Amino acid sequence: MLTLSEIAMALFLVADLALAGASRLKYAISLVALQGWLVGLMPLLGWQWSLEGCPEMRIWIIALVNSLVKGVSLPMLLSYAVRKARTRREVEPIVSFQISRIIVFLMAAGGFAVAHFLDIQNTSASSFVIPVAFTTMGTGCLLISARKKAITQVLGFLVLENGISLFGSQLLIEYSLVVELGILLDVFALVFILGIAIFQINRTFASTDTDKLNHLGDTHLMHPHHKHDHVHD
Amino acid sequence: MNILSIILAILLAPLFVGIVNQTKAFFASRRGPGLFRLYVDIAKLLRKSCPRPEHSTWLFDIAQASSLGAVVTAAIIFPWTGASLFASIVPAAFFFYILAAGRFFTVIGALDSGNAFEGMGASREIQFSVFAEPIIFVILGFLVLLTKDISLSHALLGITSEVWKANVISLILVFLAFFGVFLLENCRVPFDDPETHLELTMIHEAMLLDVGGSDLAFALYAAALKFELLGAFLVMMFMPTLECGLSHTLIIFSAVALLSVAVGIIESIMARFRLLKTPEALIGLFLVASLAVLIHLSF
Repeated sequence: MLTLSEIAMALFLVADLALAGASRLKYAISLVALQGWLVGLMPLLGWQWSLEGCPEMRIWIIALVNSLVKGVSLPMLLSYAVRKARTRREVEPIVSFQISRIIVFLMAAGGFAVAHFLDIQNTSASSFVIPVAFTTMGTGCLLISARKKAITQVLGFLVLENGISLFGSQLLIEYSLVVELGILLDVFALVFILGIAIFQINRTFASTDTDKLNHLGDTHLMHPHHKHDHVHD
Repeated sequence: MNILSIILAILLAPLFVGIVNQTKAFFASRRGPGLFRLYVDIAKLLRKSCPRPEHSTWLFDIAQASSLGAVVTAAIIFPWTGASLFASIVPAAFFFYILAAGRFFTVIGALDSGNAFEGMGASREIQFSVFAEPIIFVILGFLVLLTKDISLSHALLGITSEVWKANVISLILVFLAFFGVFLLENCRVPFDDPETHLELTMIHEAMLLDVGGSDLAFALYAAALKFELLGAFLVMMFMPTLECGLSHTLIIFSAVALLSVAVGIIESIMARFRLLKTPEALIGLFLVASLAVLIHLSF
């Protein structure tokens, strides 16, 4: 039971908790990068070296590409976006950090409870995968929905994707490359588009606070108490 | 054998604080005060009389000595050699209650002095310990789950290498949480900075502003002994059981020395949390500890 991949998954859980409570963008980005490295290295960490010998070339390449993309290039892109957009360096929560952390904890508890009743004994995966992957996906969704900044929403997408690929890398060992590439392409496109969108939002409205976007156009008629807010303040 | 190890523990306590300070000095390229500075300080302070605030009562007089007494009691029941008569009877929670009693006396003394800053320090100390206690009890509950026994020696020695193999993840998480509690209880960075001498930022030190002379020596020594005790608790809890006896004690002391180096490194590379952040960090640690229990229960 003592395997490196399970230790990595424990780190994953701690990173989820830390992400829910992370108040600085830089810190949150480095946590996402850590998760990216862990997910990328997962095939190597889960490899049974003594039984199967040295892994084949394919696995090395998957691990290398994954960890470079998720652990280095995407976080670098995000830090670049933070610097360029000149936004405030703090994560602005809608749901407070404490409550978010408790929500993540409850999601983990739910995940473990569900995994307890699921029968995955006959797959090769560790029984940790399902709860950890679900918690990570849930954390991603939380970051998307409970934070104000556009950039935290990109972070949330990345965390969500980390959860999905953790799931994929452990449960679908054979097809994981295909799954991975598909997801990676989606996310890369997403980050790309959102990156452009953030610059655009920033240039047009001098703020990346998505709350302020609600007041654009006709929507303010539906929120009379916001009538006096101005986007250009 | 046991008495010898207790005496050794009581004598060595100030050394570990010296190790922390030397490590910090090394990282800051200073010569540092030397490993034995605290011994010299305590010896110097013990020769002095205790000044007393004008409006304080007998509570102030007994506070530091009682606090020291509580910590020394905890040191006596602690199974330094791996087994001791007290430790097999006493529940692990008792150990923490004795330490809490020591804190109670320090706080009472601080409030009795009538100094506004000391009252503030007391308030902070209690506030943070309120957050630390649930973490400690979740961890103790976890140990009871693992070892099926509530006694102190089982809590400390129950984690064998087999238990480690079966529960790596939970144990790593519990270790993280307990390490946080260790830093908090000893007023170390990132929760409190032992070097700060600005009343507004102090926590533990703020309670000792009016304490001087031999009382201050007691307070300093009690803090050092508490550091050693909780360090030994941390080390013994996670170290797979070894044979009992004096060699066990020596191994514990060298492990605590390594722990002191680690604390010194953390203090050199980390800044202290903003005061309002501390409860948040402690809630995080509580969640980490609960996660460990959860993982243990579901597998």
